[in-house]
Amino acid sequence: MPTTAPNITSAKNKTLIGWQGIRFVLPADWNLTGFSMEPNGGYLKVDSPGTMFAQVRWTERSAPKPRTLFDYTLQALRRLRIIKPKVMDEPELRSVLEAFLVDTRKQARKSKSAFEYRIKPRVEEAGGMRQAHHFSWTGGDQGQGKIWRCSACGRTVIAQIVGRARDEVAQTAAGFFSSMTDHPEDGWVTWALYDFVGAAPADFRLVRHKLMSGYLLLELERRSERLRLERWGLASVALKRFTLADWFRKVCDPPVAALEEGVERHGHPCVQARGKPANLVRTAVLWFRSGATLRPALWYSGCAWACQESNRIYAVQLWRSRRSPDLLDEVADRCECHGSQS
Amino acid sequence: MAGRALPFLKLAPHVDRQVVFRLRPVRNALVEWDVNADGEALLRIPLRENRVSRVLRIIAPVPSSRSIQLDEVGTFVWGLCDGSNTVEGIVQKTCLQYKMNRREVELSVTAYLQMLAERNLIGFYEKARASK
Repeated sequence: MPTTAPNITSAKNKTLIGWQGIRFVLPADWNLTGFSMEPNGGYLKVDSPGTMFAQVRWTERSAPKPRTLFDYTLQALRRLRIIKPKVMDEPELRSVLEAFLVDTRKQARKSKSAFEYRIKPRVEEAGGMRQAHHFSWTGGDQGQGKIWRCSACGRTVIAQIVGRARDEVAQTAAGFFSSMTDHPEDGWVTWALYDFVGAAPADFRLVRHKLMSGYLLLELERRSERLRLERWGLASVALKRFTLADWFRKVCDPPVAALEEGVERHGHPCVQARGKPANLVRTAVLWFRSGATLRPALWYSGCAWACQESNRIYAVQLWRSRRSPDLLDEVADRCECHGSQS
Repeated sequence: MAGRALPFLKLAPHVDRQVVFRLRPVRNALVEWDVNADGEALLRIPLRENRVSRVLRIIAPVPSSRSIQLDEVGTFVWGLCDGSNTVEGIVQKTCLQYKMNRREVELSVTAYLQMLAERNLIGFYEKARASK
């Protein structure tokens, strides 16, 4: 049963950033300028139009890679639950933070300014779920940050707001840290950037992205299943010569011939298609694309709608195996269109 | 000095973003343009007259101008390049007109204006003094 997600960016002067489970709110005109796609961690940089920026770096709790035959044997025995799983060493937050500040000091040395930092004693937050150290530093620029480890998701996160001496770093940092979450609460990961807000189940991994002016693509995969979230700008220009159905056929090229019209999403007319391709060649292509597995993602569900208020076209496409649930409605309902305008 | 003697040492001039956003683009007066029914501008750029073109014209029919068709958004920005709007103003007006994210517009509008300037279709000036 699809559920409509609450409008999480209802505040007009705020922008929501969501990436791999990390989610926070910053002032409206801040935009994502840097990110990484590492398997055991990640990095985000969000710039203000002025001189301030926010940085978030996180690492996942993961076991070290096996190197010897003995390591591989132990790993196999743990997977078979013949021996107990290894208890991971918790990272020493203070030493991680001090290493981070040494790096920052090196950068400050270039500006020939005196570098000073202050680390507050460890505190417990989020009902004892997080153990955190707040810190601040000055040296040319100034920064206010926090390092914490979340016992629920095992992530170690270091985040800071950096700005010049005249910038309101403390005020921005207060809003930034109060809104920060490091793992999804309901099993859905929010993907939010450049006024786009969408969501996908937590076990879908980002495999491809395109962040262009007027076009945004996030492609996620879960085993053979594939989910594409797309957004186009300038809908008024794109739909000048085509109907939405023609445009969807031309641009998204759904493998199913019959389109369903007259559906509404977020109050806008929507076209959608569901089913398995009748064409054998397309079926074979999809089978090879999903890794020639026994459970190939041959079943297609896709929809597109044009939002006049935000002048954008949104498309959600899902390729799934026959037994997997059809997530199209839920994913499409969790995308925000005109509600996310800042 | 080193850059003059050794061109590969020439560093690109550092231009402050704020300064660029204060510049006012203005259309080349030699370029003629009109807008069709779809709201797309057709620019006619006169070709330079020189000895080679005069000789070529005797041999074969050489057009006296070349044309560039702009799309709707390009036409909107071209229309704003009248010397009264700054780059910042053009970015803001394009954001409002097409309801796009400011950063998306900033990137595409500045790249577009740069392309127009490289083809000598527009020039830039600062209100206080002419810079180009």
